[in-house]
Amino acid sequence: MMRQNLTRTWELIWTLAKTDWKVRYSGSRLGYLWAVLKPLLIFATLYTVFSIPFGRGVPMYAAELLIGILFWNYFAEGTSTGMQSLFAKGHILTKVPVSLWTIAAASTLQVTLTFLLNLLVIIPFVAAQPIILRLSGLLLFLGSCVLTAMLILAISLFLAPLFVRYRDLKQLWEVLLTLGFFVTPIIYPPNMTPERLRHVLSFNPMALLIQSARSGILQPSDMSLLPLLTAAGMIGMIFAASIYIFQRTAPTVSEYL
Amino acid sequence: MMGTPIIHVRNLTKSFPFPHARSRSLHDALWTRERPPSPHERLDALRDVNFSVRPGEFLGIIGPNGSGKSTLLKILTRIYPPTTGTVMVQGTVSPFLELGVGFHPELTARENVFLYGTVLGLSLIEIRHRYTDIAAFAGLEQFMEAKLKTLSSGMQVRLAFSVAIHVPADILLLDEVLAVGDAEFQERCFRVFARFKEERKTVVLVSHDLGSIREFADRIILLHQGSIVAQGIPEEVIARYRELQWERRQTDVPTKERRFGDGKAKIMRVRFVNDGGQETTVFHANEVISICLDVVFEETCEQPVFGLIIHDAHVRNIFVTNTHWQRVDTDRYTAGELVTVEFRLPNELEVGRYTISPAIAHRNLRSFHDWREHVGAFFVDRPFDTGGMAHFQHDIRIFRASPQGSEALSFPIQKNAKATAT
Repeated sequence: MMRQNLTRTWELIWTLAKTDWKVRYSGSRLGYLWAVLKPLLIFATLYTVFSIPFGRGVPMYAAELLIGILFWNYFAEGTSTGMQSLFAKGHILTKVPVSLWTIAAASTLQVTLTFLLNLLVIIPFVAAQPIILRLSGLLLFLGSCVLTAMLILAISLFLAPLFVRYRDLKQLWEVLLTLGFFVTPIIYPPNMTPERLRHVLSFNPMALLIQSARSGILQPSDMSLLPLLTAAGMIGMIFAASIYIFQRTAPTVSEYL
Repeated sequence: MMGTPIIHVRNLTKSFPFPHARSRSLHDALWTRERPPSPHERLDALRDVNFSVRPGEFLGIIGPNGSGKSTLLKILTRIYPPTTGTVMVQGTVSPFLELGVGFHPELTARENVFLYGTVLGLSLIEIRHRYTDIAAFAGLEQFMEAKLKTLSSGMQVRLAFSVAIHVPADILLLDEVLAVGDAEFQERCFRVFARFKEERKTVVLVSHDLGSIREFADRIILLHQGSIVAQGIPEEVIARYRELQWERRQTDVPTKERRFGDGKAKIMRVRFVNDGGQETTVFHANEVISICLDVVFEETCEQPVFGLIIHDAHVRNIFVTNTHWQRVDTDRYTAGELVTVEFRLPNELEVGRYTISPAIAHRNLRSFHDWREHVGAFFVDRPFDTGGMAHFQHDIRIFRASPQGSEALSFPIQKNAKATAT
């Protein structure tokens, strides 16, 4: 019975994610190709502009930038989509009883599918570098991915019921994401972080995750578990808080849809 | 009916904040001081609702728009939480709420079946298993690979309903299914309802279609302004619903009363009384309509004439009578005397609203003491509306022609006429 329920829940999340993913690219000429094309184009733009001021003296700037962009895009899209997930599924939620967390989970999964496609882009960049990949490094990278997914889900659970009530969150969140993009070492190397921002940044889980993802692939010989573990601790706490708040905000969501 | 209730609702109240009181922007939430919502800013969609449904029962819910029917179904479906009170639903539920469903127009009909099925709690294997049946019931076998948006809205609803009834649930909650389809779809729904009844499935059906609710429901709940005003066997509750509709409509109609006369006698009040001696505004089939005029005399009157016209909704005179034509001895009255004049007639009127214009005239019929046009209104309710103007008490007989064909053909009309006369 328990197992049957688990299968059903998984099938529900998977079906919701899959259909959303299909819908997202349906009607566009290039279809799923956009999933790969978009981060590449953003990368090309940012690289053209920022490789001069920030790229000097950074041996693998292109690869670092790309990984940073992929992770940040994943986070930004995941949280934005997640925030709007309940609202977007209003037509279902007002007619069928669905546990709301599955909707948020489906949106995270949907964005994760895109992210996984994106990761293919990294391959040629890494191949171009004189690096020997290590299993431990790949695991560190994988761990960063999983923790990013968890962070996205946690923030989605927190924001989605609030967004149903306060649509302003969308504007606010966009601004915060832009701010986040610049205070996270994505386009500039971590050592160029302004002094007064350093201690703030140590509380930025995305900075830690990007750092460990980069080191896992690009410096497997010189990597540390510490950023990942710190991030894991933070994300654990964020997750717990999100669930606590979600349980209080979720029951009345359908009344606002 | 046996077994413990499968749905049990106790003291259920559901209130919503009024739309204007619901802060939609962060600005409002942050800058307006949090104050306890005053009772004026909350709307009770349901008020102290109590009922239970036993396994295998077919429950109908009726009520005017905005009476809380859909809210009730949403609470039973667990889409809305109750504000106060308890709601217990045992078993799995398959809901079909509101017009349209959680479908995605960009996906194919087939993909939508899988999406909607999983949302309703079916596993993918179960959906694959039932897929052919679902498509067949919706009558859309050839359209399953088409994008949903290319199907007509009727087709979409058919598909959704088809998925909903193929979910192996203990309880079906259906909201206005009949309002959305064409006649053929309705026919299909009726067959499903009949099957549900046979299978002793528990069904809660919200509908405006009184005919079908009467046919299928074992019991009906009538909601009005969020409260249950009647529940019980279909006939009685539907009659009560009709009364409610009439009452509402009555208050809607502006009174076009016109009055004239010399005032020697005045019609103070008009009352409608039913068989049971109670005042009413609704008369049912086979009742006697009693119209009472309470009259006061201001001066002495000898043999006044009391008269009455019944008009239909189009202000046609349906029935006219007076004491002069009926040769009623009306006697002599002195100033200050109070009398009641009662007109009694069998209810042979068709379903509808009727107004009356009573009058008191001088015995010479040339001058009026009081003439009041459209001073009161009553309603006639019957199980069905024939579309005619009247419904006379009558019977219909059928006589077989005699076996000798030629003989029978020669005088059937005469023979029938004789037979009816006896």
